[in-house]
Amino acid sequence: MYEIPPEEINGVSGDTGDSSNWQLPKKISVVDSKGENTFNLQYAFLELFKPTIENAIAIRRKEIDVEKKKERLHVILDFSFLKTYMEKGSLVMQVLKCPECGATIEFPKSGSQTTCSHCGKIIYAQDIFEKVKSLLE
Amino acid sequence: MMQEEIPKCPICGSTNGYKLSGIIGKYAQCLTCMTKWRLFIKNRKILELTLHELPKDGSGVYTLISTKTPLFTVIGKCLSIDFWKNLKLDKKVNWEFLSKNVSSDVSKAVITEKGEKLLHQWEGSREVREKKVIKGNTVESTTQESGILLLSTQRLRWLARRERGFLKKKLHRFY
Repeated sequence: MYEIPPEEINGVSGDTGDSSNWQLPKKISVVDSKGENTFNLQYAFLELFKPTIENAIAIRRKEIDVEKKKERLHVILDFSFLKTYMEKGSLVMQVLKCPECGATIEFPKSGSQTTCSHCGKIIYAQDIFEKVKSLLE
Repeated sequence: MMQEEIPKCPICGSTNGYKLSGIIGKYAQCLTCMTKWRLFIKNRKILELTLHELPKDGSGVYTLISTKTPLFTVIGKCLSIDFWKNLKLDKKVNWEFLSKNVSSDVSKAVITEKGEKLLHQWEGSREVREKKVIKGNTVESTTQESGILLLSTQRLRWLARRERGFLKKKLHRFY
């Protein structure tokens, strides 16, 4: 069985051609981290096969970027996600310390922000995430 | 002659010029993108051109604005010089056009992931390398496996053709 995500393709090589041998099968090699796979394919000039694959890789990379951005947005917005994220890294946080006055605030179960009951400072889940991220990495 | 008629390469827009070749037929190749045409000349004038070799810069899959089809679809076709003079390429791949090439047999044989779209398919064979032990010696052999290479938005996968029953070919379902 051969199956590979486009973004894991390292290179494509093979036969070039012209209008006189357009329909004849062409030898094409697809290289990935596991090795080389060789095919004999119809209408697969290198001049055609390579850009088709490269454009598919570009589509996939864009999709991955969008997925990552969505993930990041989710992380930024939610305290509950932050809790899960920390637990994955063996961290448990029950209280927060207000960066303004130093008062103890209970770790919120949800929402993207919380307010210090002592001084009124707004604390964002995003800011805590950035600090926690550096600790976990 | 080519330089006079079409000073700018219709594909890449380069003005670097063309390399002329051929004894029986005349050919012109852009020095920049390497696209090659066969020229049909009458009374020292180019009347028609046939796209003989696709550009090496990947523009072969880009879309012709006039027809909304990829450039490679005109390979081997004899087209007037005006077609080439007025050619405009949209530097995008018309995936809708390419995906029409995906046969219904293939569409039925694969179960797509969420959001996955089938983009293109190529018929042919795959070289399968096998190691066999014959009389204590390891021998590597290569066999050809008939099938289809399928490109989707999420993977490039090989679908092997398996013969089942009398002269009946079916695509093997992986999932």
